[in-house]
Amino acid sequence: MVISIGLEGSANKIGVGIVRDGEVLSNPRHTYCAPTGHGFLPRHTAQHHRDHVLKLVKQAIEEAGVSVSAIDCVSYTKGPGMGAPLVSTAVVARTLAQLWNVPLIPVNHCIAHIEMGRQVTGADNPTVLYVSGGNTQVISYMNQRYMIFGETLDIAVGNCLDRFARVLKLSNDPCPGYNIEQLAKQGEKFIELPYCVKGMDVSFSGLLSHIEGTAVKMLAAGECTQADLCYSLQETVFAMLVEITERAMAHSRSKQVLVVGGVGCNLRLQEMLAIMAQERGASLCATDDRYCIDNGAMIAHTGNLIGSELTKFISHGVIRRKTSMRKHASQPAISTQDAAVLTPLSFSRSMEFIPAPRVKSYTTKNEVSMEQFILPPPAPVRLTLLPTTLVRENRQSFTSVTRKRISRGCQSFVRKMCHPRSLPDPPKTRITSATLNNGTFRRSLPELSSNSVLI
Amino acid sequence: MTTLVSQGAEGRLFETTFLGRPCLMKERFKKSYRHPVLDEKLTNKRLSQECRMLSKCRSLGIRTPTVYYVNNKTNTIYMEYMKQTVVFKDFVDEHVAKGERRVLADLCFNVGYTIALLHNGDIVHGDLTSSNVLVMKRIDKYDCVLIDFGLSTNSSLVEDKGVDLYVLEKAFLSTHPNSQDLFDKILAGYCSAAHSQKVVMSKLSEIRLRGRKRSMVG
Repeated sequence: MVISIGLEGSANKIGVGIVRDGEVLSNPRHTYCAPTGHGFLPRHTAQHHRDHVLKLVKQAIEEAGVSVSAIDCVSYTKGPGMGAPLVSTAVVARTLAQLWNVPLIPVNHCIAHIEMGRQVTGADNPTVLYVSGGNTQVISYMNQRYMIFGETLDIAVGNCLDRFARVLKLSNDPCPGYNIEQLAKQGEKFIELPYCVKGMDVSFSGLLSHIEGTAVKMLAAGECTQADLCYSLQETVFAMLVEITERAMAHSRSKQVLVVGGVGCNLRLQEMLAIMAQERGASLCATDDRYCIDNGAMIAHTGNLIGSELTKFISHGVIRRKTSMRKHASQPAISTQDAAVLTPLSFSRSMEFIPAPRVKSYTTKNEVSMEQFILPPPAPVRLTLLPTTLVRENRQSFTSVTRKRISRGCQSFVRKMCHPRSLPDPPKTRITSATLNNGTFRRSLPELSSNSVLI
Repeated sequence: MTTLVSQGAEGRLFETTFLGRPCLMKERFKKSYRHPVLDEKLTNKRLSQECRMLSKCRSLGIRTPTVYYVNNKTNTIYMEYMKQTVVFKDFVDEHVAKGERRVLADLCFNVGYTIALLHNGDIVHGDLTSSNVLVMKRIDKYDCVLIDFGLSTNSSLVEDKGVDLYVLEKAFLSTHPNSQDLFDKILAGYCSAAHSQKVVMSKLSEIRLRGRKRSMVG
């Protein structure tokens, strides 16, 4: 029995969830609503998250009725998402993990959506339509990984809807997509809009510029109402989404479709998907706004899956914990860096990403054969790749506070790398955080491969 | 006598006879999830486009099923039933499993060559996947047949040709993992025959960078 707490803050929602083995104990959330006619800016969203996160953590713990000591791990959204809100959430998660001395587990946002959808609906191996303000993808689980079959070639569908809502000056409360959905129910006239499907990919930017241009003219001329425009927009973009989903289903011969992400709670989209599925003799798995929209429970649930997997890896000696880490009582038993190596929940360079662990058959023999793990065991070479990903991400989105934390992680990595066996010439200078930060450190280690360039 | 062969994304395929000849009937059935106006527009457009392209391809020297008859009231096409063919996707899966990559490499080169012929004739397929290519065995080698031209357009733009290859690349690599070498063969075949191969290739590498959150760090 594992209880985990998850913190989600990749966009304008901050959510904290507590999950015990797939059972959601509490899942409070708070949404930042930008002023009407505007989108949410990273700075304001991050401020909002900082204002609400502690209240939400307390609320989550109270609602769940568990004591802090019962919590086994802290998981947080590592990405993808907006930099500033991600950082404010990550700092809280790291602090909690150190306070409670429990492992800290980074979770990929997209995988969390899918895993939560599978958990709630019980879908086994569905084709996934992931539609939200930042993502539009058709994903399928094949050959032990999640593969992106189709996606948007430019903007996400939620982004398209949100920006159109701004043109109509619709409120951002509770969310623009919901207001469009309600208004669309009154629409009667169908206005033809550009329809752009390229294979299993879609494109929305042309459609958006078209409707932004004509909407103002048509409304001024009294040719249509706001409701008609919303109705036509919804019908067109959702038809495109359902079509690419259908293509992916036909291609992968799948009999189940799961819809996740913020746009996924639109009832019209669910209705269209259900009809499509029925025509193909397939079934639709959908959830409501509690789990479709970004929430903490999905992060906690996925963290749980990863956590239990990590324990198995460690107990079988496939990987060892860093002993140096355990010397410091304040450090979590499994560091972020360890977890990043062990849980390959990051997208690899191509369009595929390595899945959340799914161990189907597992035996506890003394000899561990690699085939028992559906995930390939992390090869040593991954270690050398690690700092680059950290550093890249660091440059994009992390503040100096987190940068220091990451540098500290890199330091222990470097110490390992500096072992006489791994490098021809051990560095002469002692590496401290000061040398790390002022850059002398890099000069002292010219032999490191290009993969491990540090900050 | 009409029997259902399979259901694709676009329509249903039936095996039937036309004037006593065995044939394949492709019916674009009404998609009730779509708005009727939109559905009619799309279905009509794709039906006529498919017929036009199927016959135009033959004049370019690309093997496609012969169109016998088109009924635009019921949205059906009667075309040649190529029984001796295998879907490229299944063919790849089978041969990868057997470890016969040599045969596959030759075939992939051929597929790339065929796509080049298509693009030389200023046709963009629009939905190139390994499910939309059939493989036909000739005496000593394999030939490929292109099908499913519903999304195809007439275009001489480098952009459209680049997107066409990009769509294929994504569909191919996500369906057949660890097959970058095979896709490289397809590109090699393409470059061997395409008139504007240099421009298209540089466009392709530009398009690859376009998608959102390509790195997906997290």
